[in-house]
Amino acid sequence: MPAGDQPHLERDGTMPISDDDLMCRFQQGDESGFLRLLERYQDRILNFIFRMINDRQLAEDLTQEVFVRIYMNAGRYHPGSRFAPWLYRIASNLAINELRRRKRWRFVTIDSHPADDDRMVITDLEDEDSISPDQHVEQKEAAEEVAEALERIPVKYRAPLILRELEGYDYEEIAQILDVPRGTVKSRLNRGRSLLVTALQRARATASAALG
Amino acid sequence: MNCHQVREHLSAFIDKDLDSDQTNAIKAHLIRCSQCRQTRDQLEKIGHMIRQMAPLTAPADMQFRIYSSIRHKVTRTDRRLHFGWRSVFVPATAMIIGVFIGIWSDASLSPGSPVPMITSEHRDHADTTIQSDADIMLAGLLDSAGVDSAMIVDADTRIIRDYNLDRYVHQPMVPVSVDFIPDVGSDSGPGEAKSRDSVVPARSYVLDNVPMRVGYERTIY
Repeated sequence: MPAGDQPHLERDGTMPISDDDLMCRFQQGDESGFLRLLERYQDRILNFIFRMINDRQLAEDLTQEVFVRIYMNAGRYHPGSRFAPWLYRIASNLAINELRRRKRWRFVTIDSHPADDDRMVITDLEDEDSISPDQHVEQKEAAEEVAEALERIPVKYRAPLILRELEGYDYEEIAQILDVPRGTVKSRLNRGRSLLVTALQRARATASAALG
Repeated sequence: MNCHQVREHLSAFIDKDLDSDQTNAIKAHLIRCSQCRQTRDQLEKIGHMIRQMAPLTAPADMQFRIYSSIRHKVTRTDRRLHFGWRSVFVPATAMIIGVFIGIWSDASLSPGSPVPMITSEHRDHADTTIQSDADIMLAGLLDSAGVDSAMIVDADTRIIRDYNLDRYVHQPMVPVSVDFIPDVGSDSGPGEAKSRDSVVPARSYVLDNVPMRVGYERTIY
């Protein structure tokens, strides 16, 4: 079950309020409903977009745009429906549009350096003190490996993988977010995982060959 | 099931998205097929590796950036007179009053500054449709400024929030405390350069447990 559906203890210790209730409050003019949703989801949306596009600054900009759109289009939300899939759908569309734009841009740019652009930068590592330096390096290297491999697989496989593995959505919810049939989610997850395994194996083989 | 069929469903098997017949058939195959077991292990491991990726935290100014962008878009929308559900209250009178809120240095907002809470006795004097202390404060705030809507800038986070009298008469809010501070004219801040006639006293507030200091520039068209 996605974290968004778990009960959330409010900061002031009061009983948790559902996303739907908060959105309804906001629709009725209560700004705090939007603020609480923002606090609840801003990190998750930032992470989702970052894993999709692998660019921290751009991920922040797009996260900002996601919540601006939620604010400006709150009237389109149907009370009683689920908020999180709607939110992720907006985030997903923005990320995919950005990837398309980037792809076009690279195609026409003569001095781009894709290898540099694609570098993975992991920041904000949490609990850094709780692991040894060696473990830290290993963890970071593994994370970089996966991130680079993720970026190598087509976005149509990447998106469901991130939604499933990082966000914990089930097939039905992923289908709703990505606006594709459930069966397509199933086949893309299967194919995406296989592609990711292959991409990782190739990256390791290349690294081993480079080391001699 | 043969290996090809099993591998088509391995991902759904890992995600526990198969019915019991399919699940049992794959389990039976995995017991006797080491290659498919290896493939399953790889797929499970890749999922684990994705989940182990270090999470990012949104920057501290994310809310400010979002509200700044919203403010910009709402202003543009209002200029085009496209009033949606969120539109500000439009006075029926011919006089339109705009309110702008300034941000001051926080010298008078030190943690030790006494900030009296609005108590229930204030509520008793309020209109019965007002739901909370915050409503009383904001309704009074807007009413004393002679306007129906306002932007309030959070002095700490720089979050800009829209308030309008109509909304706060009907919507409950979190408790708010209020403290009066000297007039804008006697303090440093953006209001200083304004004509005193057009500026109402600045006040400090604690809204959502965040100290704010606000003042108004009243523009009468």
